[in-house]
Amino acid sequence: MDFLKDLGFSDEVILKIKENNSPNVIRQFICDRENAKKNIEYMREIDILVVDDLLIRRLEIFSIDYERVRKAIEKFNASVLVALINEDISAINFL
Amino acid sequence: MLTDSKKIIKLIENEIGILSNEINYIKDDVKVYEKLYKKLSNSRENIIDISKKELKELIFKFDIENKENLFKEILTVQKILKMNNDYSSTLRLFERNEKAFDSFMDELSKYDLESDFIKNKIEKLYSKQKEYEKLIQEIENDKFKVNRKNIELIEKIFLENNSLEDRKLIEEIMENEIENYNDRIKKSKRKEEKKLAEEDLIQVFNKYDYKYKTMDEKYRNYLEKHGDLNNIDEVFSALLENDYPKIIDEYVLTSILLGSNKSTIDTVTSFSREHRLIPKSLLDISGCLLEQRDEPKTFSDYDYMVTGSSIDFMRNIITIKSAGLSINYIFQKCRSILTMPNALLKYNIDLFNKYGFSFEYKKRGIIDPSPDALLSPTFAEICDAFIEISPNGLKYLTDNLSNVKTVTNPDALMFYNIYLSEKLSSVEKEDDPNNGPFRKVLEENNENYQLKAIITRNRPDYRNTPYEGITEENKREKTNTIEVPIKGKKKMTRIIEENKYPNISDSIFNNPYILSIDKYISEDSALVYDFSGIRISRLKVLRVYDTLLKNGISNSIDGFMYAIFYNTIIDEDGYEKVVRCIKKEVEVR
Repeated sequence: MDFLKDLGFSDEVILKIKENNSPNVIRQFICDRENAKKNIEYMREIDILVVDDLLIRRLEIFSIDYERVRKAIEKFNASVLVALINEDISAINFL
Repeated sequence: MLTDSKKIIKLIENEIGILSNEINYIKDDVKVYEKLYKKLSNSRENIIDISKKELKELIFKFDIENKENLFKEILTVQKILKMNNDYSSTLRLFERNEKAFDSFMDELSKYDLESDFIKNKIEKLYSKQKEYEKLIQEIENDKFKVNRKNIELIEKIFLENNSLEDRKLIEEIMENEIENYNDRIKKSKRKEEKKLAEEDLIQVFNKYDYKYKTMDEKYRNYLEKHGDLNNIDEVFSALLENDYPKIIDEYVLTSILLGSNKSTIDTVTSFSREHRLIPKSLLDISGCLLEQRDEPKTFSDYDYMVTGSSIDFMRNIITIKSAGLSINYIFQKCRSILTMPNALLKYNIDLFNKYGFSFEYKKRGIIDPSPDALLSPTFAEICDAFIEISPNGLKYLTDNLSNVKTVTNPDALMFYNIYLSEKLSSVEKEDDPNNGPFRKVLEENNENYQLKAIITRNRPDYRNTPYEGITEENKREKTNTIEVPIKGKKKMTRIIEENKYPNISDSIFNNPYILSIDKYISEDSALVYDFSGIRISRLKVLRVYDTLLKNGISNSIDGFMYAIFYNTIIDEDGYEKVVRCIKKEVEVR
């Protein structure tokens, strides 16, 4: 999970990810790390402020192909969707 | 050899002497207690002759709790009996004094050299002495091993019992020894670290057209440290025979070379072909190609790398198909499900259907929260919590099923925020459409419920300003919620925790207690009991009460009430309301 440190996530966040997710989910996330990195960077770019919470609670969505995530977000009014996700991370389910 | 063996031996010998004294003290005590027991058995009035100081010393040597209390009671006994004796009065002992005197006599009767109580006490001290004598022999014969057990033993002997000077000496000695010990461990570890030679690995990699030297150093180290050359060769060969494409990802490649073997690859690949999963797809969920492993307690990077679930994977394929779901759909939406523990998946699919959720809802989008919910280790508890916490809780959960997975604790702070928000909105601003914990969002003509940021506290700018001042520490106090008093709660909680995947038996539906509250099943949902406006999850009550009955708890009101209030966030008023309803149907103590 060192790549998360390189992306600026704290040890505390990494520990919470480990506590909240089963080993097979974490292993899958590590295998999909290149795609996950792109998703993280894109989410930050569009001002999603709760990327750490998404990692802790919805780690599996970072395995979804980055291009598909980007296109899906672009279909929405991105600023409204981002505001909703920042309120309640469940709004990511709109994608 | 220990650095300062003579000093250590002397200290251990002292300790053996102290133990011998302790044994003698016990034997002396036995004589005193035996004599007293006989004296008091003849007549309890004889207690008058014992001084307060003597009594205190006697009682405070007992192995019991509440020595202070027993001492006070016995003094009262002594006073009453003395008054009767001195003034020929006929004062009677209170019931509690009688009981205290009986306990006092019971304790005295244990002091018999032939009793197990004394035998065990003395035996423990003898075996300690033997352990210390063995330690001295090991030190004298230069066979003392500085291992964890011996270090702990020496620390225990000296750090607890000896003078400051002795402690300093032993700390100094132990420090040196621990350093030496750690050095030895490090050296032996370094020897173990490089099991495989780089040249051998280069050769095997070349044989299958892979480049070893260009791999990341981290992965090369893993292979050299943990690898088995024959197995690596066989794994490469099995991948080739089963038509796997060249593996580009070094993490995936290393994990397969270390965590798999020929037989696992052959079996999983052939099974998957039968279910239309090609080798290229399997590499996207490579955990399925690794040998099944039980979850280790701590996770290092290496442990994650070799976490294998080949058996769970094959079972999951069958389970998913039997549930009428498409493997391809699960693969697209949430591939981690394919490698999760099979027992949990089976259990969660069953709960998913029982709570009435559907997999159809989000099929068109790229994220479907329904399969994500199946990953939850606390599926039922979280559903129950949402059902009970608000009349809109189930609607919110159905709209956002992933919450079954994202919220992991039914006692989470968020539930207290929702609870209070519902309370405040129903009392203060009944007509305000914006009150309450939820907001409504229109999505493709569907009204979708979302939680407000003041409730979720997810957004960084809200994190330091708790909703209505509620924090993890004061959540019960701020919401006036209570821990419901139930007799035998501890035992029942242990039973519930031990039963990981409980089923609901058919027989529970005919249980008299359960039948008695059928009339409270809500008109809006069969998942809810409505006790004068207090919502209780019906599946929770059935599941918990059934589990208790199956595990030796008798069919009683205590177990039934435990099931009703299990994990329920409730205040005194709500509790009274539920009890009043149940009282009408059954007798409640």
